[in-house]
Amino acid sequence: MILAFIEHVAGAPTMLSLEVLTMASRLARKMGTQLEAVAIGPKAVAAAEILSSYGVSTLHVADDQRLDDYAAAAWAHAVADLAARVNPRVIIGTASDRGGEVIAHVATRMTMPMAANCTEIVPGDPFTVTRQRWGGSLLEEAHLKGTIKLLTIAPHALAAEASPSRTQVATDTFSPALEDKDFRVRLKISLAQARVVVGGGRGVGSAEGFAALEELAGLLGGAVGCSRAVTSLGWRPHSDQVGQTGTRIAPDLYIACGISGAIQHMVGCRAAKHILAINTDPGAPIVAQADFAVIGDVQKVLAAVNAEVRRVKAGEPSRSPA
Amino acid sequence: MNVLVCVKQIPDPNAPGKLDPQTKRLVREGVDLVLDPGDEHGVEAGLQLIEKDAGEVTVISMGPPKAVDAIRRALAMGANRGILITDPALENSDAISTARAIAAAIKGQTYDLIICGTESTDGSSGAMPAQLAELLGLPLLSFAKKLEVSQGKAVIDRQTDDGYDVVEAPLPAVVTVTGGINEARYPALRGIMQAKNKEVKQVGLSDLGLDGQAGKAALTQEVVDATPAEARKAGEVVEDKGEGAKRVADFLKALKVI
Ligand SMILES: Cc1cc2nc3c(=O)[nH]c(=O)nc-3n(C[C@@H](O)[C@H](O)[C@H](O)COP(=O)(O)OP(=O)(O)OC[C@H]3O[C@@H](n4cnc5c(N)ncnc54)[C@H](O)[C@@H]3O)c2cc1C
Ligand SMILES: Cc1cc2nc3c(=O)[nH]c(=O)nc-3n(C[C@H](O)[C@H](O)[C@H](O)COP(=O)(O)OP(=O)(O)OC[C@H]3O[C@@H](n4cnc5c(N)ncnc54)[C@H](O)[C@@H]3O)c2cc1C
Repeated sequence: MILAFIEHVAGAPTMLSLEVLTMASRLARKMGTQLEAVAIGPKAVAAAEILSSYGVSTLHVADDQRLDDYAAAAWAHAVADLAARVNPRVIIGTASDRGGEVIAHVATRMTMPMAANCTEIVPGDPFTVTRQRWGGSLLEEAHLKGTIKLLTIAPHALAAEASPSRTQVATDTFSPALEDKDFRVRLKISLAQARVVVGGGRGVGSAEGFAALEELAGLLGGAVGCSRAVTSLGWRPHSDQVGQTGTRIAPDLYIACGISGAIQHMVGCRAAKHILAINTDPGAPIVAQADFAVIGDVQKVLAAVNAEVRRVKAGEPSRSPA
Repeated sequence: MNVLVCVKQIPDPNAPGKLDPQTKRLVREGVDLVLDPGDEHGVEAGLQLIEKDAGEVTVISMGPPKAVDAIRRALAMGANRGILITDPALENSDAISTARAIAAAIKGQTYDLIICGTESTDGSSGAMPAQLAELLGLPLLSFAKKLEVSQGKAVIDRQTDDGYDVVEAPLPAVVTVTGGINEARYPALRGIMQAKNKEVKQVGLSDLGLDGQAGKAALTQEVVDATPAEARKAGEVVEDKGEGAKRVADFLKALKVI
């Protein structure tokens, strides 16, 4: 049996969890075994509806009010307790900020091997996984030992795909034997981040040049970020830096202005759902990684974009040439 | 306040190494090795804590004998002493072996805080700190982009995929820091000179009482191949000839951003 660890928001599985389910159901088919899922907190019961489109036969729900808030040790305790009871061959979760550490805790509790950030799984003997290293720029193939394999799936390694046929999902609620020490980490406040981040690089030209980016971020209800070249030049504070030695962001849209797209920068924004690039150089690496790229001068393009966005928001017709 | 900072030595990311076609591992011979830039933030976070409060920062690293250079770099930044875990039998260790070795090396010592990077630049599994916390039975505060310690508690801003959470735990605790937490200091010449005289204790597998439980003897995974990954795919590219802004606005509309 394969056990998928599902993250959810009030019973709705997260996008990354749907990707994990897609990978897990393919794996279950290849291994000729069934797929079960585990989700944490009483509200998870509602996930059964969606899981029925991903070939899940049983949804195990860890039922304890204290589990509603994220607590890695407690969640891992619940998953490990369940695993000891249902004895899966593979436990598979997301490589999100939560999934990765929950699976790492579970692996340690069970003394079983773990492979993080997998993009491909070939079951059998040897059991082979392909996983990301160097922040996603290197793919490594490895053989895993152990009677139970613990895996996390790299974000967007595959697209979530619901199956047209639905399964009957049995629900098994269980109460893990949690201890007080599982709850030493306490969540106090949860704050949402801007869904749009406008990032500027050396191509913005100067500290003053960021005014156009501030304006666009303001219009879109977003925040401003920058590359390391910009913090090195003293144009913006380090707290704005996106990348390996800065902040990692996962907005719906990342607008990269005058940023070349160096790997250390991309590590910080590769989880963005969409990337829009504005750059003078059609050969810049960012252009090859953007969903949409405009080849042109940052300041000129942004001035026109800001005017256009203001018009659209005011409900006025576009003034651009047809 | 006693702080332990876990640091890893990695091939210089400015000159990413080649893959050994035989072992499929990054060539670590003949390339520059550096203290993982992510771990510089861990060292910096530790130093800032003891500068505010009294105390000492110990750095620990597991790696080949050359990894002592990464420890020296942290000592040059201002850390007080180092521990190097090295043994040929520890080669090919995975994250759990590393966690076991570190847990064994600090047995009997008390630290208020153990600081790690969120994930290493080269291995990027991000698994070691959670495994260390689990082995030591300590709470884990991860993805910290801000860290404050007072009255026996650590409070962090935990970077999440959607924003951040304010999270707290009692000490002692394991904390992982992101690059956003601080700007790491550059070692001054004086620090570099002083680092030469600071103590670095070297321990091997048998000192740890881990024979057979870490490294080669406890291998749970074997690397068989490695290749560069494909980047994100390109979408539409338009040359701005005046209509660029309109096209951008259309794109923003399609994404329902405006
Ligand atoms: C002789 C020898 C040879 C080695 N050769 C290699 C090699 O070729 N490739 C390789 O990737 N690793 C090698 N290692 C180190 C190996 O043990 C890794 O540290 C381990 O696999 C951690 O994986 P990760 O990089 O994914 O850690 P992650 O979990 O991503 O690291 C997160 C954080 O944990 C801490 N941490 C991780 N590793 C160490 C460490 N070794 N020492 C102290 N703190 C650490 C750091 O704070 C880091 O920021 C070698 C070790 C020895 C003793
Ligand atoms: C260990 C390590 C860690 C690092 N960490 C980070 C990190 O966290 N974050 C980070 O960002 N970087 C990081 N870097 C640095 C990274 O390698 C790059 O050097 C950096 O991202 C480059 O910034 P940039 O894109 O702004 O500048 P450049 O690479 O100089 O690119 C400028 C871009 O602007 C374009 N341009 C120029 N003029 C215009 C114009 N008028 N209109 C439109 N476009 C224009 C150019 O075509 C070019 O593509 C790190 C490097 C190392 C070695």
